[in-house]
Amino acid sequence: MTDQTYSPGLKEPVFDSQAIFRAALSALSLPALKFKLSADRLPQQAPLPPLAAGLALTLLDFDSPAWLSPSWSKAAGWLAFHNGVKPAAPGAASFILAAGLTELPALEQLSPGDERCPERSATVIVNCPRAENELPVYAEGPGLKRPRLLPPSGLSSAFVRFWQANHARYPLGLDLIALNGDGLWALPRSAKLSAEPERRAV
Amino acid sequence: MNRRPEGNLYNFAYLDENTKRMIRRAILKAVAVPGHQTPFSSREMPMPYGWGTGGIQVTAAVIGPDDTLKVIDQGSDDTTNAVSIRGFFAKTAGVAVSARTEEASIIQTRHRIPETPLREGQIMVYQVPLPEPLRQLEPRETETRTLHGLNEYGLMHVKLYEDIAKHGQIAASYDYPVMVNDRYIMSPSPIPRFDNPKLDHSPALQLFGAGREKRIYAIPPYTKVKSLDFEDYPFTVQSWNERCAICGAENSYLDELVIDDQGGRLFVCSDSDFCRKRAEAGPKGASRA
Repeated sequence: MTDQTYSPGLKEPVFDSQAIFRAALSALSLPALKFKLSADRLPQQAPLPPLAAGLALTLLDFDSPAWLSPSWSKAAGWLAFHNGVKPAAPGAASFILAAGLTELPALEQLSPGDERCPERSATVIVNCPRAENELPVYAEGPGLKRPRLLPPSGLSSAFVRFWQANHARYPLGLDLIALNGDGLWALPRSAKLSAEPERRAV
Repeated sequence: MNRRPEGNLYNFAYLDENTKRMIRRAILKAVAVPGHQTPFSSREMPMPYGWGTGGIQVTAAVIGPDDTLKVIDQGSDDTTNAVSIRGFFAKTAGVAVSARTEEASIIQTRHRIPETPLREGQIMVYQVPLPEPLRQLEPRETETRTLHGLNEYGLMHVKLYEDIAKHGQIAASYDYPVMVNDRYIMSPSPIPRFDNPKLDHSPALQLFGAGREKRIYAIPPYTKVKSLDFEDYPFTVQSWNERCAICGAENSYLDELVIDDQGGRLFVCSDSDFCRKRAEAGPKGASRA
């Protein structure tokens, strides 16, 4: 329990969650493209950063157990109070909320779904607040007309390896929503990452 | 600003927030695995199954006060189903409605994809009666799921081959199966095969909702969608010798109208918005009546 356990959620739950969902839907449909959300749509006094808090209240509830990374574990009470979110071990969680890429559990600890039900994989919501990447990384796949450079978010070659291992299991695998400053971008498991965009006949 | 429509006693867009959250999670997973049928716990809607309960639930989970909704049934904005669904959202969500394809941000459809090219940012919502393309070949859900999981589509290719052996061509004029992102065979809902090429690399996001069968699936923008065929029997679309009697269009999907009991008939565009726009703009086509 913290002082913030009962702090307010979304100001206008119906309309704010709709706007936040549409940003997430656009982000997963058009991977690696950042979609901004205005601050007045997001909970400002929550025990999570506003974007993470808003997205969590939009997508999580009693049907979707969540794992919180150590720095965010204090938000468990707040999520339970607002949406009845139940905590879960990484392997059993449908949502993984992580305060940073370094706080993510190892890939093999997270649920990739199974062949019959690939939709049962975990969705990773991770805070990536930095404003540059260690290396340029391109995404390709459904939703991408041509390869797109990932938004600067503190991505390292370790992250690229993490994602390549994830993509290799397609159609199984994690889907990722990255929170970066005033907006979010996403990588569905169908997105392939590489340091150089593949040459493509026009 | 009060964004709830006056006199509306329902929640915005009819569904309660828990239901929307559940549908939204399913939609996001469907987008992440293009062509995969994601189960969702479909609710009873104030209309019978078969009238678009799946499409309505998807639209209700997606729509917001700033959206403009267009609803078509057999290409037309003025049929009973389209009018009632448009009225439903005008009442429960108070959103703007339009018959113009280019003005709409969400287009709910049954049977057709508009002739007017779609753009990035638009969302197509399809009402799907039978989401499982393998159902006619394998009645057991556990089996069809396994077949999808193992990427085992031999059954479908045999069926298409038998079509050619029997009829000389692949005998599916609508709901023609497609391969999405080189992985999942998907039913494109009962659109005519004429519309299949519009699925491929469409700039719009395409969402499919099946209410009775409790499935949601999706095609993200710019995704490869290939209509199944064989090298020596390539996929083709329907064509007509006639032109639209109202607007003169030669390349749109035509409906045949019987106009008397002497064998007289007319062909008109099935897409009423496209036809109206053309008729207003240019000289009329020659009537063949």
